[in-house]
Amino acid sequence: MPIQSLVNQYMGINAHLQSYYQAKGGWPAFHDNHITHLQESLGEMLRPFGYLVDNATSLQVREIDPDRPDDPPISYVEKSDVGIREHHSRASSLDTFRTPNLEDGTLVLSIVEAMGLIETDLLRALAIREVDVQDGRLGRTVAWLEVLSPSNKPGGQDWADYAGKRLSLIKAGITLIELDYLHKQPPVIAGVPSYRANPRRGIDADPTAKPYLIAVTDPHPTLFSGRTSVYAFEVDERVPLVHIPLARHEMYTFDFGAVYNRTFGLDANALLVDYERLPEEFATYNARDQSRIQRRMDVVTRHEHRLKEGPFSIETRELDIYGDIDRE
Amino acid sequence: MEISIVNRAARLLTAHTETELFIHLCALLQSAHDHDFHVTLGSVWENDQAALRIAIEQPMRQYTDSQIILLWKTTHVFTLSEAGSLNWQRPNGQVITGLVNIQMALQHIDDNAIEPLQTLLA
Repeated sequence: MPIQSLVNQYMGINAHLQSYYQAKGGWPAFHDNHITHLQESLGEMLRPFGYLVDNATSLQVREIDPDRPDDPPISYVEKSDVGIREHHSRASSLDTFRTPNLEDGTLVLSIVEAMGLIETDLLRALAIREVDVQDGRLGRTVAWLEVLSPSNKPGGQDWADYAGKRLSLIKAGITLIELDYLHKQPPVIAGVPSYRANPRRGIDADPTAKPYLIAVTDPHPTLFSGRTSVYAFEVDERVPLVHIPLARHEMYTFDFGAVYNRTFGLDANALLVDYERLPEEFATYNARDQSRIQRRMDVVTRHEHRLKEGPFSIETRELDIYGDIDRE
Repeated sequence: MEISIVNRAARLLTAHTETELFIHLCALLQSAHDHDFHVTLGSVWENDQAALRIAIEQPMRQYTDSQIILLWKTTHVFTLSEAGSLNWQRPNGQVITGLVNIQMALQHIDDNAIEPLQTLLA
């Protein structure tokens, strides 16, 4: 009998569900729901302060040359996943059927496959925009939020496009927020320790690396004096509160973990998580996080009749069994 | 028949019991869709009694030397105990207890009947 719950039983990102998506596919649907929930939640929190959170399917980015501020800004359309239309012929990494699936003689395709879509066509981003309090008109974009997918991380088919898009955003003076809940691919932030080894690039796994991160790149006051804040966190660790710089020296602290839990709770695939079994591709986690996963599974198993609640705290008993993982 | 927000506010002042006032307050807050505040209604355990609690959060700006911090802060808390006593914790931390005292503190709502909620939450 599987042990399932629609409540995320991890303190932070659910390693079981994330592993499932990375091993079996289906991430775009979760991504899409998560973006919608982020838009709702961030929008509700920021609206009274004069910001609107927009579904960034298309955005006019205005790039201003700081050396020549009086010149007209260079304007161009920034798609939510820029450049991807040049690559329609590439294979999709979506959870499509790899071979035609015949059911009672009927060819069954995923809609994505049947429509000839590719993953990044479906992925949306969010733009946080100023709103003029006097007339309610939309102002400039001050921040851009991306939930990363496997394809736009290093080594992914859209990485080059995504890297160019990141640069164009910060060159335009837009704060970039990146949510990376995918531990298998290398981080998009240069200089962050690599969680997994990459023999082809001669990179060893760093035992201090963490599997998840939220990065906030604030290109103010200038591109070269701005900074990237990296909120890295471990398996079964709470998602940190993240400071989002906005316009006019304003800053808002947001709980991305609460929105993740909401998306998890509404995700049909959450019921595919069986806490009695190790996550897919368990070996892709380092020893510390493998211990954390097993410790969490034990805690969930012990509370298996109360899984409409949770997540449950780790008790001294588990700490004794697994040792002080945090000090390893 | 729809009761106007002004009438709902007026009922706070004419309530005969603390429970009645609490119920009218719930109705007043629920009817205010276009206002910038968040309301949470929940049960709590306090002083060995169960109670219903309304917590109102409002958007605030906190100014520091280099930044303006945007935050949602709990400004008003109304607690109705199982025994029927009501208290109102205001933004300055002052706690007003009892029907008469709360209605006295709410009296100024009547003078600003067009925007009773803004007046209440000011």
